[in-house]
Amino acid sequence: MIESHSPLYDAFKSVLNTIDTQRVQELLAYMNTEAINFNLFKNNAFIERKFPFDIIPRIVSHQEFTYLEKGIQQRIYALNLFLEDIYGAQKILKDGIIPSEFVFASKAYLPAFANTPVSKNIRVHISGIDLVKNSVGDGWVVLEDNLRVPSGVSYPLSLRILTRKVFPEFFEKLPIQSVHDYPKRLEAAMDYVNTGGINVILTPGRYNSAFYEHSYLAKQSGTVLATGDDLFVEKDKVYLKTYLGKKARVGAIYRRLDDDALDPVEFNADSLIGVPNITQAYRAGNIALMNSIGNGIADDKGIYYFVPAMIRYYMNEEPILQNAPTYLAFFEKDRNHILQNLRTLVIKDVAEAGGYGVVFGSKLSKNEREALKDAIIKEPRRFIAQEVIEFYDIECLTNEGTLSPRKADLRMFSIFSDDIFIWPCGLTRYAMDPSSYIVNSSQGGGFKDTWVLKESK
Amino acid sequence: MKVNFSYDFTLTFPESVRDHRYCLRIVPYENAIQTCSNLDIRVNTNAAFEQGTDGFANRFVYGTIAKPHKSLSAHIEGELELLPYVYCDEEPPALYNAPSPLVSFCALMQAFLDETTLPVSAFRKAFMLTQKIRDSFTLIESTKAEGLESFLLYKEGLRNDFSHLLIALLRHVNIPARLCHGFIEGENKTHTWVEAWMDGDWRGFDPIKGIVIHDEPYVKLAHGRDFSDCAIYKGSYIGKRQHILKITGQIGREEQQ
Repeated sequence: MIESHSPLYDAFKSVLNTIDTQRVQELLAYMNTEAINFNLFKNNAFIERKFPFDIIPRIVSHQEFTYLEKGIQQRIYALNLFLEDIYGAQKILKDGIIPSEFVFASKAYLPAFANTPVSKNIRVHISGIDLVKNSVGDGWVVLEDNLRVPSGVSYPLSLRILTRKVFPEFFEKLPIQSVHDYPKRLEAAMDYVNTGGINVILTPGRYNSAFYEHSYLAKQSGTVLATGDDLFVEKDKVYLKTYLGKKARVGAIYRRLDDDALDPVEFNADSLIGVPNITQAYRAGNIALMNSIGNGIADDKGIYYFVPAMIRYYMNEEPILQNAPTYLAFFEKDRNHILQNLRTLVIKDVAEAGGYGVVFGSKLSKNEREALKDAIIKEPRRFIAQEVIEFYDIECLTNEGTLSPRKADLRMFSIFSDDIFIWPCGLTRYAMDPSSYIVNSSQGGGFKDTWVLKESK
Repeated sequence: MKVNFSYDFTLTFPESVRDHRYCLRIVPYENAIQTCSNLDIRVNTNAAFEQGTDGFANRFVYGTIAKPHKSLSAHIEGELELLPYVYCDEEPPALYNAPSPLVSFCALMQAFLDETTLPVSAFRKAFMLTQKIRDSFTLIESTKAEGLESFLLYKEGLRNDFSHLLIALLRHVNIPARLCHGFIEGENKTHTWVEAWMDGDWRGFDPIKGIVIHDEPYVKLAHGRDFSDCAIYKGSYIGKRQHILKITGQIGREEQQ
């Protein structure tokens, strides 16, 4: 089914029909000058690739956005409480809501950071929640929480700015919510948790897949963009080397590198992009890291299953947003279901990310299916299985000027400071070819802007 | 029992290094059976350093030596009050019953287990495995083949291998177990042993000596799921990556007054 056939898109399409294809080319040319890249590191080779995009947006009604906003706020609030708990008293394990081996056997749980308090009790400062709209029943379903280093904000943001320039008529005729305050919100969130000093965005450098975004956000928020070499720890505090050869105390870091690369003393000694001993300053409470260390346990594919239970446990509320129907191979009943229904399920390896380790049972040969079954029986904790969700297609404008439908998901972003702000936009990703369900940018997909409409008066 | 201790840790580099950030887990642990007093810590005689605690409540010192240097030395001395080795703490035992970065169960271990019939009680199981490991393996001071698989294959290995194997076997029979790193009497270097959780307490087992630890002075510096959580030295520096860590010192029993 095709989302962009809904009446919500009528106003957009009537404007689109008046547009000369020449101007679409103009937009493409503009986008090229912005150098919107998604860099890949594959087979030891660095590939700098344009991130393909499409000018037909996903359109979200005001009512639908309000629903998503409430659902994501609830989810993030619960996930933040979970992280506070799991790195503290661990009540949720003691009360048997989550089997403790799910946490303790996961590589994403970092016991060396237990009992490390964080500024203002916020751990999930920036999140990206991946959702799809189920064409059966029309409901939104959460596929994945990204609570470590989610990327993607800058792509719809820069596409929006250019679209406004090239096609102002859309913005005159449609009541589209503005999105340009994201960087300022980010800055405010950094100020909120800052422990004294300046704000810094820490980037792995220009070879990172999202370097474009790091520099964009730094420029727009007025924050210093730094690499690991620019920062250092003196005594128990973090400083920035300034161009004048002086040092400036740093109080909050929006770090765009993984835990593993963050500190070569504490984590991977081979990391050249981190800041040595920064984790000691963090343990001493002298630096706010956004996001906190060890968040990976909350967006672990195995823990995902328990998020609805977390919402009920910590908040005493019913979850607003649903998970995709999920089976944990760890539980015997679920495991039997998985083994018997392998053909109709999507199997995910909890240790992998970015669309890697995702297998559709229906696409496997008999031998591959047997091999997977053996792997599941051998290491049940490693696998989860989900029902295939028939999510909506959205049309894309082809080079020939025709419309072609592609599967599309939605990543929505939140910023946690004194409240949880849900950005009225989002990264809509679509699959590279018409038959595929995998929309990850590292798997060749493209992106669209997401237009949230204002309340109609 | 009261003991005094004095240890020196010396890290030497064949070529000089600079911008050296270090973290040393060399401060004795504090728990129900081990309390510390009159602690004196020095790094490079009088260099500045900071102190911190990690999630296992291991204490460490950290700091920076920016100028080019060929060695880093730390000295620590003090007094300890030690009680018999049976105690509990706040950490969840289940944390130590899951596979950890350096310890997971493998087929060779199953074969090792199959050689004997294990007793029923957790304590007897642990004691039997402790002795069986001592009797089956030879302690060596350096090895080219690292890891538990080669330990089981060649029947010889480092201190860590003894402890890691015991931990893997205990976890396999559902007894939570963790690695301890520290000092023992009469040895001029660090030692590792195992704490196993049974009947609501942690008890000490030494698979190198094949004993249950009770009154012997075992001074714990750090513990963790395995050795990756309690290495003495972690650091980052600019220079050729090659260093030698030498540890010397002693524990002495204080006269009862």
